[in-house]
Amino acid sequence: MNAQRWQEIQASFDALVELDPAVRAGRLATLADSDPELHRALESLLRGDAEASAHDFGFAPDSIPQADPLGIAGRTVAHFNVREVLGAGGMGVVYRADDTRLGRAVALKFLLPHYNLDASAKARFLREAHAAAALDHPNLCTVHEVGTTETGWLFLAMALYEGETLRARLTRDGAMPVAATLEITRQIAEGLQAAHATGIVHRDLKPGNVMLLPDSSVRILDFGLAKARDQSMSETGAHFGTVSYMSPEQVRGEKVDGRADLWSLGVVLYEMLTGRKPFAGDEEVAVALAILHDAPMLPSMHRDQISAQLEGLVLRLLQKDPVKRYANPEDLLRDLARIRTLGNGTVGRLLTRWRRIRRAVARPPRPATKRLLFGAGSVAVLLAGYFVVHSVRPPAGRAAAISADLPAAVSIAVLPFTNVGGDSSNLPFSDGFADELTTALSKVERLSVMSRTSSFSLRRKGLDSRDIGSQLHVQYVVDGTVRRVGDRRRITASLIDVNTGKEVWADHFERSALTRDVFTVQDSVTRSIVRRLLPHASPVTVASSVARPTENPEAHDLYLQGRYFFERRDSVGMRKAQEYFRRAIRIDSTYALAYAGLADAYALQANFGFSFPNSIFPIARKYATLALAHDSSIVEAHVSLAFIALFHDWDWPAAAREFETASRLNERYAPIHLYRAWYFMATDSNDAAIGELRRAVDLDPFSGLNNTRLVTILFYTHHFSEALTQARNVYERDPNFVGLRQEMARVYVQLGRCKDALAMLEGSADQPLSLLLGVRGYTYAKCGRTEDARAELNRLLNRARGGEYVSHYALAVIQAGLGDDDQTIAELEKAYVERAPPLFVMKLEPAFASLRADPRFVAIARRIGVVM
Amino acid sequence: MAPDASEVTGLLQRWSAGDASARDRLIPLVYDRLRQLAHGRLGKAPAESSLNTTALVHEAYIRLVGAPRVDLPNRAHFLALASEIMRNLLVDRARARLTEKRGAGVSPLTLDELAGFSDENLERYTELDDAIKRLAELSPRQGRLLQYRYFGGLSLEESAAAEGVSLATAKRELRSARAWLAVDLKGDTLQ
Repeated sequence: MNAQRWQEIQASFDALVELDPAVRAGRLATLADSDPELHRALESLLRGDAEASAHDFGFAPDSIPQADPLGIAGRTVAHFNVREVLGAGGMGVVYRADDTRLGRAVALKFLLPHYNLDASAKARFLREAHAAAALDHPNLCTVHEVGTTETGWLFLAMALYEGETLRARLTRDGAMPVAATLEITRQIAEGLQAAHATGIVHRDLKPGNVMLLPDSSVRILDFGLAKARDQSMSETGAHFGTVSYMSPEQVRGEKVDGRADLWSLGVVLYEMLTGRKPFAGDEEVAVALAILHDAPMLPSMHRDQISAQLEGLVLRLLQKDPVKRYANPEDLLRDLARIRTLGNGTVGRLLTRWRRIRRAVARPPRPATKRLLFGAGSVAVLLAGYFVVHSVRPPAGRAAAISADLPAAVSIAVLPFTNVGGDSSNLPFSDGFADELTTALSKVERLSVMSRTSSFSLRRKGLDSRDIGSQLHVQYVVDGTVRRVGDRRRITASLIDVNTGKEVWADHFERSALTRDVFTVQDSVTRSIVRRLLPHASPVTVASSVARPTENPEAHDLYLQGRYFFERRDSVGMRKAQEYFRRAIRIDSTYALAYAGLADAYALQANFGFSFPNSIFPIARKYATLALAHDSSIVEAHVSLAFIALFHDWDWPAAAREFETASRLNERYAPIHLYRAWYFMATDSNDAAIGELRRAVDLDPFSGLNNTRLVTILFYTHHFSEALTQARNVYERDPNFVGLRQEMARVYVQLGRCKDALAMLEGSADQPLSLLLGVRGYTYAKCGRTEDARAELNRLLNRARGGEYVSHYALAVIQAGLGDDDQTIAELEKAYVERAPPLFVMKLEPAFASLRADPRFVAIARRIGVVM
Repeated sequence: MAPDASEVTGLLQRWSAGDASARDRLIPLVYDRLRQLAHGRLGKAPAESSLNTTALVHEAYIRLVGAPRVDLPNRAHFLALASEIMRNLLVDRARARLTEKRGAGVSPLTLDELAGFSDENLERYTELDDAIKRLAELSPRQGRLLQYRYFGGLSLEESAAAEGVSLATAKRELRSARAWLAVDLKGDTLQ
């Protein structure tokens, strides 16, 4: 067996393994004759696959619980006739047994063998268990006996309760009635109070340890056992079992007291009220991190009957700092009693009804559901491929599960507000309003706000807000409408929970379009949303997020117009954007964002190859500097400076500094990552470059630009087959995305697929980006159409003679394709003089592979600062 | 002396950014932490328990890095590194102990981390290690994917990020690698 043979076998295996078994058997059978050797190998591998999937060799962490782990069912141990297993947990296994001495049924709990303890630990465990056994309280499980079997196993004989655990109830029914929740909480608190009074802390309170009996009484199981268990583990505070109910101090492995139990009770109460855990995650690590760092989502966000008092009680139990929790169960019981007399913790009927009415009024009209469902389905299919390369996200309902990667507790997308009433001059305002809301909200710590492009592109597909929310995997969306009537604007805004589809907040405003009033709407919406989602955000956070760089509504309107054209990202759009930004500045000469917009528009104009870079970049630099002179915290301007330092000055350290500053200001601003990828390619860190692009795509998954640039980066880092996969995903969604066909063509050339490469370029528009302009000529040259390649070269040269900007980089690529080394070097020299934007990728450019040892090539690279 | 989280995070970021010396400085930190954790854990483990390498590696992560702001690529790099160290640590110790048991001389290593570990378990890990080496000769990346899974418990997403490949690629390659492993561990070979 060699590597190539293994690749062949694998290719067949990959094709077969996903098939339906019947189909697979048929395919395999045909191989038996034609290629018996391959047939044998595949049979063997498929069998291996089945086995590996079944048990994973016992190495994987998830082992299957055994029916009778100790092998004692039906036997007599000590003075007990052991019957069947009742349950098994992280530390022990419980059997139903008969106590032959006293003639009663008991629950007999053994510590599992891997909790076997040394002599001193054993003594400690027995002491703890005896202390717990001495507790006698109607809400605590009665322990009859603690002992050791002949074989040295520790056991506890406990009263056998017929009932179910709270875990079982929650799993079956989900959230419980508020009154029942309060009653169970009260009984648990009573039990805790009795135990804490004697100095015993439970340390492992969770629904699985709470028994609900038929007479509505509640018993807490396993008091005091967790401590012995933890001591048996290690001094490192290792924890097994579920981390979900663990307090922050336990997660950190610190000393705990009764207040840790109060935290756990808070988690249990939260789960009873909402049917969810306040700190969730796919893996233990994610949950642990959420416990340490995230604020829980408000219970009332899941269920609106919960009163403010009850919510306050839950949140007090879930304070990270034990000092801020209730000091003891008595205090908790006092608050519980107060809430119960006030009406069981629910808000009044009238209030609920009022909330509903308000929602109904505020809800914007929606198109017919049937059509929408169809639309959503087809878009989902098309977009599914988008996630192949970068990552698989958990479904929307489990957005919190990714907290290990995205620390923000609440994820949200702002949709472009619908412009009602057909006045298209109002469009920049309705888009811009959402845009600015996005900016304001993304400045709030712990809010994770989806970038605008993704939200906007899905809205354009006509999806309804909830569908867009689930596609974007956010928990909430902000949606709204804007209507301009004469000099007035009427704005509605609402916050929708994507999981439930419910509006959790809505409001409407009517303001003069000509006065500063309109700003107060943005403030008000931002504040309401932040208050709703992050009740603990400090007032300062909220205030700074709505700070605005102009007080002049007219300048603001012009700025929004500029943004609107900028987003078109074509050469006309850039010029129009420049014009509007300039007009905005004429009205308010201190308008930092407008300067930043100008800088962006010029930098892109240069980068897109619309103009000669060495005449445009200095202008871009001037405006970026002006923007920062007025407000040094404008992230866009820092990115512009980084961009200029990188693409024009070839000054890597300066670029690194600006990127650093920008990411400190707002790491979630996707262009930081989009461009920093080039910095990493310039400085020889290809993996980091790919990482940056993936981050950009993560932040803005539906942006065609980010997804296409990922193709570019994969191409320059020579991951051609990955580049193709990614390109295909983008292509499926938008075959005409700017530059995509050229990207694909050059990837095909590298993969030796000339036919596909040529087909891709058939009828495609010219792509002025200097890196892509030469692709057509290069492809012709490489695919045996030398004459066409020369014609393309001449066409471009003629355009250049006519005064148009044609990047010499592109000409160099075509000359390289034609194999003319001298001409290639000559063009690269000119590209150096014109400062063709990403000239520094020349050493990664596959077209120049054969030139890399050429001293002239090396010399150019050295002048740019690229190490060969 | 415990390194603080920001130091480890800083090293991770520098390593992700291509600074190889950062990786060299990370190794002893991760190694020490894993050894400590393994010591506490395994010393108490009786023969039949399986070593939860996943828990160890992830716990090392929480304790060394802790901060949730470390993004997926950095976390993936950390876990990948930890899985490699875990593998070396475990397999070296297991080999030394087995050698000692078979009377081929006394091992100079202190082996208390593996006290209570049955020979059968030790052999399973050395066999796994050998099998992974064999696959790595055919396909280095698949070797690493197996290591990530069985010595580090990396999720598919983390494995993909550690390798800089798509999730689909990681998934596909891990599946065939696992099937290969099943065949190999049975002592069969593919032709």
